[in-house]
Amino acid sequence: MRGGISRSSAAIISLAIALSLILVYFAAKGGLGGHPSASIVGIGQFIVNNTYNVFNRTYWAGSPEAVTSIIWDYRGFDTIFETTVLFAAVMAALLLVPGGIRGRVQGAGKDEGLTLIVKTASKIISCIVVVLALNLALRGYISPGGGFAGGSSYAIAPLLLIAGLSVFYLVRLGYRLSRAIGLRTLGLVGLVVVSSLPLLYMGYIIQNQAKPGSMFPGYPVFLGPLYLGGSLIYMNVFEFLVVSMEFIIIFIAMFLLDRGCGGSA
Amino acid sequence: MLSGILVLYVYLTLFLTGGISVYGVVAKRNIVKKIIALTIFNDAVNTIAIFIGYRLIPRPLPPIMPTIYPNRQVYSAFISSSVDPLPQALVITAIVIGVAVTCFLAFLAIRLYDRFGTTDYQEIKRLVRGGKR
Amino acid sequence: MIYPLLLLCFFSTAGMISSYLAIREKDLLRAIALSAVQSIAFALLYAVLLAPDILLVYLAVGLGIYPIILIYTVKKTRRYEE
Repeated sequence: MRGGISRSSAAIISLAIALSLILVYFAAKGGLGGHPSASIVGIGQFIVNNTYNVFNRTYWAGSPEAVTSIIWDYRGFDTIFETTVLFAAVMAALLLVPGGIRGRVQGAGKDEGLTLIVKTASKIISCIVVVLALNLALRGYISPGGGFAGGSSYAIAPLLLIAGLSVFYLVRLGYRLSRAIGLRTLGLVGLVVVSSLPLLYMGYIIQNQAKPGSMFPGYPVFLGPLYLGGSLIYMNVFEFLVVSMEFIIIFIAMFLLDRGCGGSA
Repeated sequence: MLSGILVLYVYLTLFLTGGISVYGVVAKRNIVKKIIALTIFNDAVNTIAIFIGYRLIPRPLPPIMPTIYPNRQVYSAFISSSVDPLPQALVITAIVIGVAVTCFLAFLAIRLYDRFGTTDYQEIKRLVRGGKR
Repeated sequence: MIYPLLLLCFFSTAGMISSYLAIREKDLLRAIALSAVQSIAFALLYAVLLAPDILLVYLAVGLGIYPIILIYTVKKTRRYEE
């Protein structure tokens, strides 16, 4: 094909630069709505004011972490439906596996991995990654992290094991497609249970703390000396299960895809 | 004045990153290259959303209260200098869903290569038109 | 107030240049490596923008999951574009 930058690519690039300049002009005029400035927009300020307002607990979320309290309290519906989109994308990827997902990776294959140093190092590093991911998920209501961060960090561990050893080692460790799908379903059921439990008390759906106009007393924030952070910790743990298992399903399905293609390439 | 110019420069570079990646999605013929460009576009748009929530004050704070037993002073410092948490919360879910969609697209690319023996978009279109499967 | 903005300018320029090189590159493995460089620049950008949650998600995603999935795809298809 043609080498270098052709005339049409040059035209497209200059058009892109011109459009960016126009957008920057609109941004300077305030046409994009927000703008980094000395104050933040109203709803953001409301959430910052109320997320851990121990002096007036009318609208509080019981968590010092504003981002997690938005994800699971103030905009909980949004996150529930985003989880549905994640579910749909993974299901669509699984539908592309030839022969369906009923096939099974044989656990008797040989480890055709790299040298012994690489194998040992990938085992140790994947253990560290698992511990870090659990830490992120369990402490997500009080420090940066949460279900999404923990789940996507956890997915690094099986990838390291696949790259350093082989997929058979992963299967021998107990990662199986059926088991991963079961744990994913457990996480989804947990999300549904935690978010609809307030309905039994005539509360709102995905309600965390007591709110005006609802009889639900709220999930416990302090249990003696223990800080629990309302419903956020349960939501984070179940979301961690969902996200990490979705990624593991995709990685195992990749190798089913490999087998289904008859070893081409 | 200087800070305004710098803000506009950051906007310009982020928009240009988005523009370059849209060029990659539209003009490149290789499907894997299109997927790479799409991930870059995703990141650029997310970064613009977070940048709008930044706070231009001398010492902004992250949107996390440093203690679980705050007094009045800590609380008022937090509400007067925390950056906007709302775009950050929206972007986290968007990133994870972008990964799942990218996995789906990668699966599609592999299946298309198995079927047609090429990852060139024009070539695949020509093969489909010609009735050769 | 100026220093974070200068850092933002630097990292966003780095991200723009590496994404331009990634789009222009004909070797797909090198393009994936360059887009990982762009991921590093954007992760530093999130650190300056005081978004630690996004930093944690994006480090796992942009440096772990994206490159491995795309390298696997390139391994199953062709390495060179045209």
